[in-house]
Amino acid sequence: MKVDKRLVGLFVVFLIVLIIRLYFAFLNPYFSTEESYLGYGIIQEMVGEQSIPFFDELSYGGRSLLYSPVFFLVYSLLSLGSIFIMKVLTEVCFASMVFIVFAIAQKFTSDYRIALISTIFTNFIPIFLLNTINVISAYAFVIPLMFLMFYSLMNLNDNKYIWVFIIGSIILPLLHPSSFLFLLTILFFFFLLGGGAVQPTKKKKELLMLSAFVIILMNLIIYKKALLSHGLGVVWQNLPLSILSGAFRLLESFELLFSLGSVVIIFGIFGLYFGVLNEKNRNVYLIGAFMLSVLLLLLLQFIPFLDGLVFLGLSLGVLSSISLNRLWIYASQLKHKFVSGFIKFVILIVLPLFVIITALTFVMDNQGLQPETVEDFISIRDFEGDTVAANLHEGHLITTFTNKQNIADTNFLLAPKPVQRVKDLNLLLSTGSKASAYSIINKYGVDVIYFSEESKKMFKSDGLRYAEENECFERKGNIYLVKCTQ
Amino acid sequence: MSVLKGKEIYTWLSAPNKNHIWWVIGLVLVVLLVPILFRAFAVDGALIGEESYGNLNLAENPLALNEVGEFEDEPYFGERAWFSILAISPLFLSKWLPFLIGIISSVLFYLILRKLIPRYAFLASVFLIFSPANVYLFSVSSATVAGVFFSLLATWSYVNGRKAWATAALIVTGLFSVLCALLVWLVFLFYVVYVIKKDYKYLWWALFGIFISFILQFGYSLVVAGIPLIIFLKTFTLPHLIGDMFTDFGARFGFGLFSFLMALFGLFFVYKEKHRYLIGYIAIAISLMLSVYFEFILFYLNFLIVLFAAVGIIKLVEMEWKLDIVRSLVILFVICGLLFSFVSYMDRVVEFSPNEDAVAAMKFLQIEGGDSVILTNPDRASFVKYGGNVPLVSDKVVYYVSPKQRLDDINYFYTQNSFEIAEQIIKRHDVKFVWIDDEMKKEIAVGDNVNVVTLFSHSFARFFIAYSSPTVEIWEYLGA
Repeated sequence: MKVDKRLVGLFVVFLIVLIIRLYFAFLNPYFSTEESYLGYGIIQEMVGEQSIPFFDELSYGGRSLLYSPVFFLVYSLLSLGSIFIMKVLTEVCFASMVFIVFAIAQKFTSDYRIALISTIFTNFIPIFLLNTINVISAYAFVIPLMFLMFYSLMNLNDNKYIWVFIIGSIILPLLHPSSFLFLLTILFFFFLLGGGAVQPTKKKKELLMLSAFVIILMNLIIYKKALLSHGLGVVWQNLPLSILSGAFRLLESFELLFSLGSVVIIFGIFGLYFGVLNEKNRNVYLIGAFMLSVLLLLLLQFIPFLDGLVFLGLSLGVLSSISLNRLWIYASQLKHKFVSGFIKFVILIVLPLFVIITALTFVMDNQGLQPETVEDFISIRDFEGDTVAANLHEGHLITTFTNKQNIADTNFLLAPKPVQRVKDLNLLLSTGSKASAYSIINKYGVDVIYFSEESKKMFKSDGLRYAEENECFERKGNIYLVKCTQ
Repeated sequence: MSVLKGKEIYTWLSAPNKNHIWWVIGLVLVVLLVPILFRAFAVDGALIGEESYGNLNLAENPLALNEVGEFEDEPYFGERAWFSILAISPLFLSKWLPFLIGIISSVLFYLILRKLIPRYAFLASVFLIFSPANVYLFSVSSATVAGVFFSLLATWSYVNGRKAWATAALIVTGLFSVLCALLVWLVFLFYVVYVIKKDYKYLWWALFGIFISFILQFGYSLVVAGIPLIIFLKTFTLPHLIGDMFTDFGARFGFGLFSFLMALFGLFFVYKEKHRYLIGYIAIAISLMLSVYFEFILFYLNFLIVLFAAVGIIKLVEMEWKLDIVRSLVILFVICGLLFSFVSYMDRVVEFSPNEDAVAAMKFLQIEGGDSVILTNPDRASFVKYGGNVPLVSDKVVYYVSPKQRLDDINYFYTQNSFEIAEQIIKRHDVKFVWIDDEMKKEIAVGDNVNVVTLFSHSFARFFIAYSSPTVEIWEYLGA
């Protein structure tokens, strides 16, 4: 049997990406982000109790949970609660972007080598790697599915892709509310083509219409309770203003450069320019509409900043194939063989190596959650009491590792009085006043306070000032046990 | 076979049919009965909404009919026809008169469309019957119910050539709601000026009639008390507009998101055919924005929305599709979306204010309150009045002595940090009870202040929980 060399090359890239991802994932015995533990808790409960949890007794001292359970159900069925399988599953899903990006780039350029190079660019975008390695996130399904739907839209002459798109349209809103991004992309796509330079095919129009209705309906059904409770404010997930300004913020040029990588930005923007203005390529319009949607959502602060950057980076990565292809063709037409060969060498060897090394350095510098922090939480489990106070971002770690109640965590949707709780929590960890601290301790029945290294940086203090030389508190490293209440 | 069946259903829906009217009557009967039955089982048959209780108070209180408002020497400012009719049998009519008018109005709407655009008449009527705005309108005892009914009657008379009757119906509309009458008059004006270009004299007669009904109802109050102060309790923002427009986003009444989308779709087709009604489209946009302040406009806009939605769905079916499966799926999801908005709305009917706890609180105030002054959000004023008590500020704030001061005091009372200031406000207005419910707490909790609820809980010597339920608390001020 003769194996297509191109497929071998693609598979090698996939393996490289997967191995690197797995290496970083298993470098840390825990997950990299605190938010992953929200998903981890849900999956564990699904596996343990064999039911879908819609109430969390520990978060916020007991609150309703609102989420789409499909992603967690699939994870619990496939992993059966094993952290090892969960980590592998996440990395395989994100690494599958290799095949999808390659297919789209191949569609844009019809050149195997260029498609492969832009696949490397896309899969080694620093912020994409950092945000998606060693996490439990619905984006593991959402991102590949969304790009698969884009690819299907580019191949509607083949009936099989029509079905892929229809099924994708139904699954996407079941996974995550970011399906609204796809809805916005549809709107922008029609808006961009409204000029008349390029017309979408009738099939495409019909499928996009279907997709729009499905996304709206599914989201209305799944998030009905939140929509009725928060109205339009649901896009900010009931976030307190202080958190909102941090998670949902505007782009800054340096951040953009380091997060996405200069190569992807430059080649991506030129790719967009050539695809839209020179080639008037319908498929580029589609990716362009997606980028516009992300930019608009970032500008209006409707989407978490880092998520927006990931989507933006992936689009630029895919589009970089167009400008790379142009450069390749230009180099091939040069009469001077040395210059031509040099440019091709840069495209094939230097740029991919540069992109890979930059991304890996970025990931190594940002390792996420420290194992020492998790170990501290595990030790809290043995202390008496029901309620633990730690900074907001450590809320999910409290419920997962100590099996005790937290005051607040970052899952704000339908959370009871998040503004007040976040304010109280910050005051408890930063105040010097004993009266204020006791008032909050009594209010929530706090038994243990954990002042982590992160909290020390956040509140610019080595410890809880009101607990110094105070016999009501017993300090054990970063842990304070509350001995009495007033 | 299934395609044939689908076509048959479509033909039955869109082609004029003698049986359609019976379907309309049957459907509206069932749909409007549901909220009454739900409320009967869940909240002891309590009426829906503050306005229902406001009108019930006026119907039951003969003083209101004798030119005296809630506070002495303050004339009643508003139309009188609705609660005068309710006064015959206040509680019974408050529940069943809107229901009866709802049935007749839906039939009138169908008859009007059957005369003008028979193809869309039945489908639009079905959409109207299932629309949350229609369900709400004809479940609440409000003068707008009669206003809408007489507006439809005027339109029906006009399209059937009975122009004098139409003029009379429009004038009668003014007896229930001058604003409704003016809005409908403006619609007629647009139709007469831009479309048919005749019948001007009827327009002027109608305007004259509305003016007379305004003078008869408001003249005395205006002479005695002057021009009232109108306070807009809301500021205009996009979230406000959307939050008040779509029931799927928590609006008390309004449009379902899917019927609105279908209406946009229908409008797109109509708009492509003719551009000459641009002024009409602009007027619709302005009306939508004004609906933040004048909620009754939404009920009228709902007629347009359901009509355009019917156009949208029929055009959607008639469109040439490349992929038949996609057409079937789109239609299926649209129907599911329309039904979802309706079912989800019906699910909320039981939770509408007053809920079970508020009804019990009203009963408590009836027994314990006497004629005490109660401090609460102006929205709850009619509940407080139903028990015979006096709210610090009513939902109708037009003629109170220093209403702005009262409103400021109420807002300040709920949000400030100082117990002394809270007590000052209470003493200034001789308040005996304070009504706080979950919805108010949610509003108060948005601010950063330690609010009055927290203050109460630390001052049991002066404040005492007189009534408590999961969602409503009534605090009694015991004095210094």
